[in-house]
Amino acid sequence: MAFIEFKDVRKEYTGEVNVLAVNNCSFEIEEGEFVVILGQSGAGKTTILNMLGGMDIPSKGKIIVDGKRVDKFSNKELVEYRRHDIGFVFQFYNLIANLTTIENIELACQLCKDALEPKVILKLVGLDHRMKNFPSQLSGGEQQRVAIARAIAKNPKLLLCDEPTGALDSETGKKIFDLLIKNCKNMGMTTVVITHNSSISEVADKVITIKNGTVDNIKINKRPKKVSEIEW
Amino acid sequence: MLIKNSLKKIKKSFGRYLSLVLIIFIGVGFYTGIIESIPNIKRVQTEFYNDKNTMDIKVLSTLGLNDEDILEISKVDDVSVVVGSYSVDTLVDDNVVRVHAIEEEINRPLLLDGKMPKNSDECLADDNYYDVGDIITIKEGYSDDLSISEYKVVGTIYSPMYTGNEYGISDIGNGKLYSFIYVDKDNFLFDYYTEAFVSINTDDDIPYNEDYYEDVEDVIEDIKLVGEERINDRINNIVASSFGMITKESLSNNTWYVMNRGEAIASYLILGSQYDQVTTIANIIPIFFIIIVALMTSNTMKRMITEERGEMGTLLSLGFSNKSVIFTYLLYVISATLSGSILGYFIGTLLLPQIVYNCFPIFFPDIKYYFDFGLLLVSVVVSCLLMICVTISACRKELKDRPAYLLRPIAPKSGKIILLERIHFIWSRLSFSMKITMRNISRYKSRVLITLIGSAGCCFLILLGFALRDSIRMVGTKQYNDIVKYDNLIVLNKSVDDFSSLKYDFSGLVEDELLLSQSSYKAVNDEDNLDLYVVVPENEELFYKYFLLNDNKNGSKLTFEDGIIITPKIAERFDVEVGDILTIESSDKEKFRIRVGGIIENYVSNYIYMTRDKYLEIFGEDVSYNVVVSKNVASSDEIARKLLNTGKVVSVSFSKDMLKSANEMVEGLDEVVVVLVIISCMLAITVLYNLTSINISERTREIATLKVLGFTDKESNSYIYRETMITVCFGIILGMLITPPLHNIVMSYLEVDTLVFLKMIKIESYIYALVLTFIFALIMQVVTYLKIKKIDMIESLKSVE
Repeated sequence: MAFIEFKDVRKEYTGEVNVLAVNNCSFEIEEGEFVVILGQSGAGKTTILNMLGGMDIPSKGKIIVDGKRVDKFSNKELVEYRRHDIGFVFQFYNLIANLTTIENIELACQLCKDALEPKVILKLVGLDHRMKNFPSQLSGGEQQRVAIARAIAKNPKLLLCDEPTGALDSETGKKIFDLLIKNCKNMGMTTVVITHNSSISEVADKVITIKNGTVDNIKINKRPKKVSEIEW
Repeated sequence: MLIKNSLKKIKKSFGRYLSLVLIIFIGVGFYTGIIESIPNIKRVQTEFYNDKNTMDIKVLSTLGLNDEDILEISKVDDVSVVVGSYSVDTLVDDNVVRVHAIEEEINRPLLLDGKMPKNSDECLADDNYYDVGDIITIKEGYSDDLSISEYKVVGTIYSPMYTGNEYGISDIGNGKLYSFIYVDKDNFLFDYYTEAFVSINTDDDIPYNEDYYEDVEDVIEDIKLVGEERINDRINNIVASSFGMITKESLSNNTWYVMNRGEAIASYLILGSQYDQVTTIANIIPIFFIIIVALMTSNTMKRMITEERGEMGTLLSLGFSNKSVIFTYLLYVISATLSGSILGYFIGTLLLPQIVYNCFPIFFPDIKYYFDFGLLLVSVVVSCLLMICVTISACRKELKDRPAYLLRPIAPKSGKIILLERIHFIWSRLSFSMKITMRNISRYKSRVLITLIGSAGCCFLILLGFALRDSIRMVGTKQYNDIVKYDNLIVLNKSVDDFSSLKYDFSGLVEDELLLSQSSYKAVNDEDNLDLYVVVPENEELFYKYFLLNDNKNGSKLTFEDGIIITPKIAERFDVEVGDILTIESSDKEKFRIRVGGIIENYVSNYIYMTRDKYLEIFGEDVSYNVVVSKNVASSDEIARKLLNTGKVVSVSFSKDMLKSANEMVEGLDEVVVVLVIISCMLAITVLYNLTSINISERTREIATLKVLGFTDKESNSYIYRETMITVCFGIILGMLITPPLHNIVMSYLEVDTLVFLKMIKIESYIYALVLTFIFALIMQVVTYLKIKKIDMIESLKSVE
């Protein structure tokens, strides 16, 4: 059985207007894979990622992560799941403004028992010299690297990134991807990245294309390209 | 469109909007309500007095008054009505009941139940003690001046002659007037009037009004002159008609007593001082309220506007003018202020006067709602103006920036290494979360400051209420339990040189009698004067037993070895200390200089204590004793009855009654203070809610991030709330620190000439204030928790707002 299994997942938002965000969506992800979810704005990528990350629950269908039924989790279990199994990286970093770089990472490390050493992680993302700086004193790329470090430091089973390069220029974006892939391969950390940039997808082990809330195409790259090889 | 936007804003942050409305509501409601209370009660009193044509002046004569006396009084300028009337003190079941004559023209009673008497054996009775249908039987031997001794109560009444439950004294029975009834005038068998009631022409018939008081004084002076003439005439007549049996000299101490309302109406003066005290509170306390309300509301608006700068930027970039953007906020704030202040005015003026009215034991008709349009207008306009100014200035600050700049989030203040981090010793010992909390506290200084001030202010208001209560309540207990140790104080009819002439009358009733000479003087200087008593004991040992002479400051025991001893109010008012000279003045304006030897603890009335030798030295005459203090042997009723019967005693008062009446005097004020505490608590809750809700809405994104990271709701809550709790703790401490000095100031305004209030705050009060503020803060923690639970991670993190 695959590490992650997404089976016939449906997500409806009910309210004043009913929106069918995800429908009949199925895919599998193996442990240690670097996966890109591709699709246009409003296709339902973020909804899928949110459900995968335990921030949202499906209306229908199964989500199995590491043998556990995430779709059946209670609120409490979802918190535990996010806490121990998931690392999340956002487009807009969402660092805590009042904490230094290292403290932002420590904050996350506090939560899990087998967390990694914050200083080591900070060195890994190449920001050990910025340890005592506050987010506002960092550039966008640097902030995103801190955000990634924060997610990685929890030593999660699954790293989820929602448009991590969306607010960055291409050079910086490449560096971020390079970092994510290296981390995925070195640590064996299953990584799922959302992007709407199809050229990036060539670096992934697997590319899942989403269209109108459902899986349009799954492509497996036998030999993914290196980040340096792709044109942005 | 913009109106819609305003409405959306209200809906979006309904909790905050509501707290804004509520804060304004409580502020305006308390202010207008408490300000209107006393005028409203006075209005009822004025109306009652006018309606019943309450006397302005009462005339008594030791010879009684006849028709000619009445006629002469009626000729005095500005006298509109004079009525000769009767009253007599009788005993009903050993209680002293005063029987009055029903008058048509003056002092008409207010019928509460039943009907007016038709027959001469029917009466109107005090509503406080009697019901319709009761039979009142006057004790044998006490109804000689009445044609009928048994009356049926056909109606119960309030009489304008009795305003409160202190009815006054009597010279029969146990010396205390218990109740009163009104009977037909023809029932009285006197061949002269026992009293005359006078109504005067005045434009200012408002109780306790200065102008009214002056008008009355003018007429009183004139009537006194008439009295002198009339007494002379009467004496001459009596001497003439006695054929030399009676000499003029034996009649020389006859006189008229001409009294104003303060002297003639029971509890009138007590009520007056209670009015003054509540008015003082009404003038001072709302100031603190208003400061807190203004601070909190302006803070709310400022932070809301800062928070929504992105939206302002959007509106501006869409082409809306600055004016119209400000307009959306003005609409928000004005709608909140209008509804809060109008609602506050009506509910405040409806409830508070009623509550204050109920606090006092007064016998007036029910309070009526009085609509004061001027006050409504002023409070609404002032609060709106204030809020508009705050809003516009906050908007302007933001709008100075270009729209493009506004669209970007406010550059977060770059984090700083805080001072505490430099103190490595402490910093390294703090847990990680404590470090974050400390950093947050130092970073969001203005936010923390507002929370600090808000919670300090609320704690202060609550503690002040309790403190006022302590000060007010303790006076009677301190004076009559701790300082004064005798059981009774007996005023003699005639001064004596020693106890021998009284021994027979007093034996078996009281023991350890101490003779005192007590005489009235005034302490004076160029601009001030203060009534006081000069007291000289016959026996010093007994005096020390009956009076606690503790030094005012250090509590050490003082004796006459220290010299002349005075009470603290004299020292304070005339700024004299031990060793200084104080000038006092007798009723004949003769001045004497006194060297102060000691200042003792004392709370009621002002005294100068000295030995007989000192008295001789200062006043140049020997003392004669006019007061006896002693311990009870018999029951107090028996003591009073028997002593009054001897004719040698004017009055007997008991310390336990004094304690009771001292406590009754402050009862109304005490209850007003309870109201103050309750309202302060309400304000505290809304202020804390307001602060909490602003805090959360400003930090939604931060909280959502924490939740995504896997913080449980509890952990996120403590992350956010820990700093608030720490701030509130400091706020409570600050509130407690500022209370004593401000309490002293408030008390100094409340003080009257004859009372010293304790400036002490009980430990319990500190605990109450602490616990209450803390409980409110904890309740808010629950509120935060629920709010945090509701925060939607996905929505809050979608984009940079």
